[in-house]
Amino acid sequence: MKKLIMSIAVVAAMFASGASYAGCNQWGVVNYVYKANNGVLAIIGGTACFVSVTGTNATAIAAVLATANANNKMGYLTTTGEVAIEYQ
Amino acid sequence: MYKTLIGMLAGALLTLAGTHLFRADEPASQNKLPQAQAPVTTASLDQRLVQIASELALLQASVDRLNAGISHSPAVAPPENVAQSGPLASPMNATVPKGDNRMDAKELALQKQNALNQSSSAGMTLPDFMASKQFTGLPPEAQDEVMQELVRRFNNGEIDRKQFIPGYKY
Repeated sequence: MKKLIMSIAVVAAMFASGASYAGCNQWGVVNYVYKANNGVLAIIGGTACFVSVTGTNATAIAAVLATANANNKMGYLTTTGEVAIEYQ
Repeated sequence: MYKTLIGMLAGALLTLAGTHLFRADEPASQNKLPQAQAPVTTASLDQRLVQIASELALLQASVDRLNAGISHSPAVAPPENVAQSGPLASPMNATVPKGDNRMDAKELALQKQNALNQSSSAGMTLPDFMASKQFTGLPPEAQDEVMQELVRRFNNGEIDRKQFIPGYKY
């Protein structure tokens, strides 16, 4: 039982750490947005986040975040490319 | 007379039987020889480890030579119009035999490393890097991995933000 709880804790920690997605999933002022050919790189609250999305999704995400960036507003980007920005 | 003859025959038989039995025991005795003659000690184990390590090194060298032979064999030589000089051109343009997953992974790792090295070269900016041959030449999955590594370096302060990201709001 103890081993099971420890295993679950380790797995949870792995998910929570988000090692390869540092900077994602956090609110902050959108400092920078760059639409790459394979995804979107955003720097939110001074921390970079890159999500790999292509096509119109990437364009839409970059456009939304660029709006926040232009107006010094806050934004949010998840590792799966969901985006939200502060109401203008 | 008979007794002498029987005695000689019995002696010959015993000699033959003894010789045969000795030969049958030879493999087993060979297996047991190291244990019987040399007791296992830390020093002997260390010596054995060193021996194994040297054998492994020799094997690795053989594998490397084999890999080098595969990657540079005339059958898979890159076309003449591909630049082969310079530290970055060669690994990026190396032709990898299809179906050799191990070689693919090795070449891919080299290419990703080259791309990351390119990102930290003097005067390099994010847009320039994204448009660079070292980056665009990577498969999509490798591009994602390179980007994640780039993000990690950025967040760890290993990348000069002012230089690398023009237009970044501080």
